[in-house]
Formats: sequence, structure tokens, C-alpha cells
Amino acid sequence: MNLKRLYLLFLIVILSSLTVSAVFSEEASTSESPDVSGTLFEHVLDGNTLELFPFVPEITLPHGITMHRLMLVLSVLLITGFYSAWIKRGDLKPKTRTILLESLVIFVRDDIVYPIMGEERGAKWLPFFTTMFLFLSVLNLLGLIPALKTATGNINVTTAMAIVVLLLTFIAGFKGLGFVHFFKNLFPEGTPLGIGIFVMLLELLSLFTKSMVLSLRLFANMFAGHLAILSFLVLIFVITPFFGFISVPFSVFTYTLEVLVGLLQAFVFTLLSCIFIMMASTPEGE
Amino acid sequence: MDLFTLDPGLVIWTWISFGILFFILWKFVFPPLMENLKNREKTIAKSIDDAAAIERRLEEIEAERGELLKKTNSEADEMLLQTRSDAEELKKRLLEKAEKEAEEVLVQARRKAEAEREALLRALQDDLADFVCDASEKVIGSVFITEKEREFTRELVKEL
Repeated sequence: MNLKRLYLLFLIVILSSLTVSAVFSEEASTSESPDVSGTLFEHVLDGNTLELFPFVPEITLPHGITMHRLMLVLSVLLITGFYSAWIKRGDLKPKTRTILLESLVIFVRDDIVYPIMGEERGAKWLPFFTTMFLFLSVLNLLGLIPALKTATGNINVTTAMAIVVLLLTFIAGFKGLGFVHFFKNLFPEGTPLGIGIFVMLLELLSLFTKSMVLSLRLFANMFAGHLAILSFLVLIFVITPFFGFISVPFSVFTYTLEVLVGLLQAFVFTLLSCIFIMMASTPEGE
Repeated sequence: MDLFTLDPGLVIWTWISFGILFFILWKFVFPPLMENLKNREKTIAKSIDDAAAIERRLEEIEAERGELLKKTNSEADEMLLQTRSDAEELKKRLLEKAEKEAEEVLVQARRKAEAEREALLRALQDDLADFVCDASEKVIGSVFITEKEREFTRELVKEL
């Protein structure tokens, strides 16, 4: 049994390395000089062509639609499709697939929103954070499917999400504390006026930097992760096709890691957003 | 396309996608989902309570059963003992009765045998006296023995 598995793995490695080298050779032959970083970035950055299979002509997307935009739409369709189809009212004995979908919501509820915001307040915010977690998770994982791309590997997408969080931080803060009290909350008590104003400005700035960091963290993780998988595969082309015996297992390992990182980054983004919004709308010392 | 190219279109697409997704989930998916979860939690809590109540009742029934079994066992033991002692008594009584009857039968038989023996002896004595008288008549010849002498002979035979 184990020997059979080993044989299968060996076969997969050989076939993958041959395919990868064939794809890269084809790409290299089309351009005059092989541009490794160009090839790499082409697979990660946004574009308007969809390459479904090697050796099959690529599909050019309609004007105005790029791969990352397509991924955004696809994620919305996937999430709404699965949730609308599998969640039925009054379902007391759910099937495994329904439990799986529900468990994601329960995870966001019990591990992110309720512990931070409390039950009463958390119940109002739960749909928002669940949507955020699902949206980011699906976007992160879609990029792991061959031929598709990671929209969260584009800084515009992550920044857009971070801006939403930033705006909500201010809105929740103004609503929870009042306009004046929100800024007063940033002023540390018992400090001289000069230092206090300076700290207040720093705190205000930190609200922006926190959101920016949120955006950069997600972008960098997703971009770097996918680039790492591709870099391992590109080595086959750069060094020798036989390097596939090392590259393919490594990229498979990185791929597995990326699944974890994709979910983890969605979790981190949601968790930190929740904390920022809660912190901005809670009086200091509570 | 560069790594950090600003793409306002994509930003707007992200907001719109996120907004649509949020609206759909918030409006159409969350109400049934949360209701299901709440109902299920309630049902599970009720089932757990019910199960605990059933377990308690089961324990009670088990205890009652044990008690009943103990009581029945002791009753059965008592009944068995009673039956055994009754049987012993009955046996004793029957044995006594049988012994008594056997003794009575024996006494009666003995009495009857005695009476028969007496009658037999008497008949033998009479016969012997008659025989002696007849024999004497034959020896003496013509001389007849009187009734008085015959009676006397009988008395003699009795004394033998």
C-alpha cells in the first residue's frame, strides 16, 4: 500500500515537472529572452486574460473586466449561492454541508465577535464580520485554484476593505461615544496639554496606520505566498527540468501552507477589524 | 501592470461586491440561519434536559425495581420457608397418623390372632376331649360314657 502511494507521488512529481517545464518553455519561446520575474508576476498580478489550461488559447475577458474583478464577482456568487442553496429555514436536522456553512458563522460568532463585543452588541455586528470573513477567505482560497487569481494579492482590494474598516471605526466611534467624546477619548487623562495633544494626534494617526497595516498584511501574505509557490516551480525552468523532484514537493508544501495562511489571514483581518471598531467605540478604561 | 498600481475601479468593484454580499447575507441568509441556530440550540438544550429527566426517572425506576426485587425475594424466601415448615409438619403429622394406624392395625391383628388362637385351642381341646372319650368308649367296649364324664374329660384336657 505504502509502495503504491510512493509510486503515485513519484508519478505526480514527474508529470508535474514535465508539464511545468513545458509550459514555461512555451512561454519562453514566444518571447525573445526569457523573463523569469515577468512570467512570475504575470501569474500573480491582475490581467484581462484567463488561461484555463496549458496549450489552450487564453480567453480574453470583456473590456472593463479583469481577473481580480472576476474573482470578486465569483466569490460573491459562490458565497451567496452556497448559503442560499443550503441554508433552509426551520432546518433542525441539517446535513453535513449545511453544518459546514453554519460552523463558519458560529466560528466568527464565538471566536471573534462575541468574545470582543459581547453578545448584545456583537449580534448587531455579526452579519458584517461574517461577510468580511467569508469574503476574504473565499478570495484568498480562490487564488489557489489553478487558472484563477488571488484578488487579495492586489493592494487595491485589501485597501478598499481596510477603508471600509476605517470608516466603520469612525462611524462606530462617533455613534458610540459622540463626536467630541470620541476625540476626547484619544486624549490621555492626567497629562499636560501639550503632550496630550501630541499623543492625541498620534492616536488619531494610529487609527489610519492600523487600517493601512491591516491592508498591507493581507496583501503581502497573499501575494508572497502565491509568489513562493510559483517561484519554486519557476526554478524547474531556470535550473533544469530534473529540479522538479525538489521544486514540486516544496511547492506542494507551500501550497498546503497557503490554504492555512489564506484562512488565517481572513481570520486575522476580521479579528483586528473587530478589535479596532470595538476599541474606537468604547470609552477608555472600560 | 505594476504591483502597486492604483486602480480606483477595482476599489469600487470591491466595495460594490462586498456591499452586495453583505446585503444578501444580512437580508436573506442570516435571519433563517440565526433562527435555525437558535432553535437548534433550544432543541438541544431541551433534549439534554429531557435526557437528564429521563435518566433521573430511570434511576428512580431502577431503585424501585431493586426494592421491589428485594421485597419479592424476601417474600419468596419467606413463602419457601413457610411451605417447607408446612410440608415438614404435614409430613410429621402424616407419619404420626400412619404409625398410629399401623399400630392399631397391628393391635387389631394381634387381637384377632389371639382370638382365633383361643377359638382354635378351644376347638382342639373339645376335639381332643371328644377323641379321648371316643377312644375310651372303644377300649372299654359297651360301657357308655355319660355326659358328666365327658365334661370331666374336657376339663382334664383343658388343664393339660
